[in-house]
Amino acid sequence: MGRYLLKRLGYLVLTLFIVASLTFFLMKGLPGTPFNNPKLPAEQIALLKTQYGLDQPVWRQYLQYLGGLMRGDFGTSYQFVGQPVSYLIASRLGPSLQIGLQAMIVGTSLGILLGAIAAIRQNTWVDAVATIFAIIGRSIPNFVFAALLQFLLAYQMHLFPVALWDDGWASSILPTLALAMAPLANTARFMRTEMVDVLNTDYIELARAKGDSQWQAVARHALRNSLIPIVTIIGPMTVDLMTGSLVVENVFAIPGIGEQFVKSITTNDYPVIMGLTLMYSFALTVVILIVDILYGLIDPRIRLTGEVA
Amino acid sequence: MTPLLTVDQLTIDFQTFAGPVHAVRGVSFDLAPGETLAIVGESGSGKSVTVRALMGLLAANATVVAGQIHLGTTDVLRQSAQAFNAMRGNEVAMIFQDPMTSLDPTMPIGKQVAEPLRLHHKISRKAALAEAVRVLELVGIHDAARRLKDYPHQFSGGQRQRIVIAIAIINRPKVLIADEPTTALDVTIQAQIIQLLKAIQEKLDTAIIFITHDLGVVAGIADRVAVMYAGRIVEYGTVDELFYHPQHPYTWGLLEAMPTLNTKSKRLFAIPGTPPDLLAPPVGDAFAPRNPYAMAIDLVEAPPFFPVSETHAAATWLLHPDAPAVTPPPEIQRRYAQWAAHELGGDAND
Ligand SMILES: Nc1ncnc2c1ncn2[C@@H]1O[C@H](COP(=O)(O)OP(=O)(O)OP(=O)(O)O)[C@@H](O)[C@H]1O
Ligand SMILES: [Mg+2]
Repeated sequence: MGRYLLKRLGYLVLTLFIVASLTFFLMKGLPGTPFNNPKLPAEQIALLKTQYGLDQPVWRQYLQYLGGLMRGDFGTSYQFVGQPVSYLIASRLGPSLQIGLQAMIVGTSLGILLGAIAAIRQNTWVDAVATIFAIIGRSIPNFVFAALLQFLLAYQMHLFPVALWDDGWASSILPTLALAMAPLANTARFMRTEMVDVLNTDYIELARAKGDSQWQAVARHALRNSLIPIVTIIGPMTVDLMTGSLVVENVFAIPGIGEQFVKSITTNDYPVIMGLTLMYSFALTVVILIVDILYGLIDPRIRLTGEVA
Repeated sequence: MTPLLTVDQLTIDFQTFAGPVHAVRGVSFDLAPGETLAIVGESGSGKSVTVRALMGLLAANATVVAGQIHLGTTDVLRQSAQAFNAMRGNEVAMIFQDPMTSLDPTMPIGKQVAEPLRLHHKISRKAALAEAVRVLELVGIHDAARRLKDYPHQFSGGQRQRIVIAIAIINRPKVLIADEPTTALDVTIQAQIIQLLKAIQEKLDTAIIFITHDLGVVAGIADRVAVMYAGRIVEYGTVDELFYHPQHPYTWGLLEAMPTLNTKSKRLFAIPGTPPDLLAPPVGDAFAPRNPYAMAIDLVEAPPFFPVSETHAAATWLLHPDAPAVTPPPEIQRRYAQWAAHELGGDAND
């Protein structure tokens, strides 16, 4: 296990190095510059370029950037003058992390419940309702949900704040629900398929033959076995959440990472874009590592060794 | 002796898109305490459906159209779902065909073996696990105490079937149903599992219903045999009666198809033709289309049981007093000769 973790951490660093290099050269290759305001006089632009080290050869900029990363220095924002990227990210991580985690927890647990019930009540109206719900959740984009929730629950019923991040936990509820829709629908669909398969296995029949009632067989044997494959979709769902968050945060005007990301792209704020890309990559590789460890924990047939890539 | 279990005219349909499948069509048998009844028949003859009805584990699209099952004084088919749960794994237990898939892959085997105890008795986890160790040792899992935390994938197929048997017997059921428990195992392991079932039966005095389509294993374990064809029992009797004095042409076919030590050719004999479509079972004797000895009446009316001895009967018109005498296949004649020579049943009147 120790060797396994060490190996995985090695891969993590390698992944981040590749992502950092790729984004760096991609940014360099892009036509726009942060200082493309036509009103800026040429000598002003030259001054700015010197200030940010942009007059140096690209290889030197690259080495400086990597060197900075080693020291935890992600550079300085072009847009917010003098603000270190790491500070910008840190100050905005909270709201994003909160609604992301909440959406993940709400989405997967409700999805598991919905999928399991649909499978147990297979081919009844319960199953039909759950399936329709899942299809809706998967096919409608989350900004539509966001707007719908805003309109119904906030604007009309006044149950929650319409937008902004100034009302404590209540502010996070609607964004969380809007964001949770995709993972909920995904998990429900996956869970139903898995559970239907598992309910038809010999070991569930044996559980019934032991005297388990239908619900006992589900709780003791079917649930855990159906959950194993669910773990694999946590990775892709995290990606969905990250991208979903970009939109949802904008709709609800939440000062989160997603909103920052969108803003930095529209202003060509390269250091911030690169920093955020790295942060997303880091988060994703960590999630994947956690998923693999979880896998080993819930499926006894999988043993984590240094051999597994 | 009063039977422990009686199955009376059990009739089961499955609702399908094509219409009702008449899978079990009036099956009756009984089982005495401690005896072993083998149910033999080709694939699809209704063996599993019959015993699943007894376990209350029929598929959702099944209907018991008629018939009764009594276990002691319990009317099995008319009991509540809770009463069924209380019976399963306690009074009646079941062993399945494929040990590779019968155990929960994510649960340690100790917990799985102890589960029926915990379900049916007020017993602490520790005491249940201690009993699990005892039963696992009984079925031949060595060093069971140290292996309680192991998972199914850490055991071989034969060992897993032993574990499944341990699960089945931990509550000392009165009836143990074994649905082709050795089909998925290789021959040497098959013999060990049969030996184990016999040993368990002697020790616990459990009655066993042993389902198989391999007559070869029947002789080694059963007291009595019932032969099933297309949802009906067509012949039943003691093992000796069925093996050496069979009366139904279908039983003849099964015996001919059985590989013996002196089977010379590699090619085994199989009964020609296929079983009838149970969506619309034929009028008359369902076996008639495959039966070289079929008579006109076979196509019109299903034969009733004709008694051969007190313990032996067959549902074939050949036993009707007016039926012409027929010459059975050579293999069966050979068996009749053995029957006569060893006076296995007293009067060999053929
Ligand atoms: N759920 C179901 N729906 C429709 N038909 C079914 C269902 N279950 C069983 N049958 C049918 O009932 C008949 C008897 O099946 P059963 O499983 O009892 O056969 P079997 O004698 O146990 O055969 P095998 O040796 O292959 O196990 C078969 O024709 C089968 O197709
Ligand atoms: Mg079967």
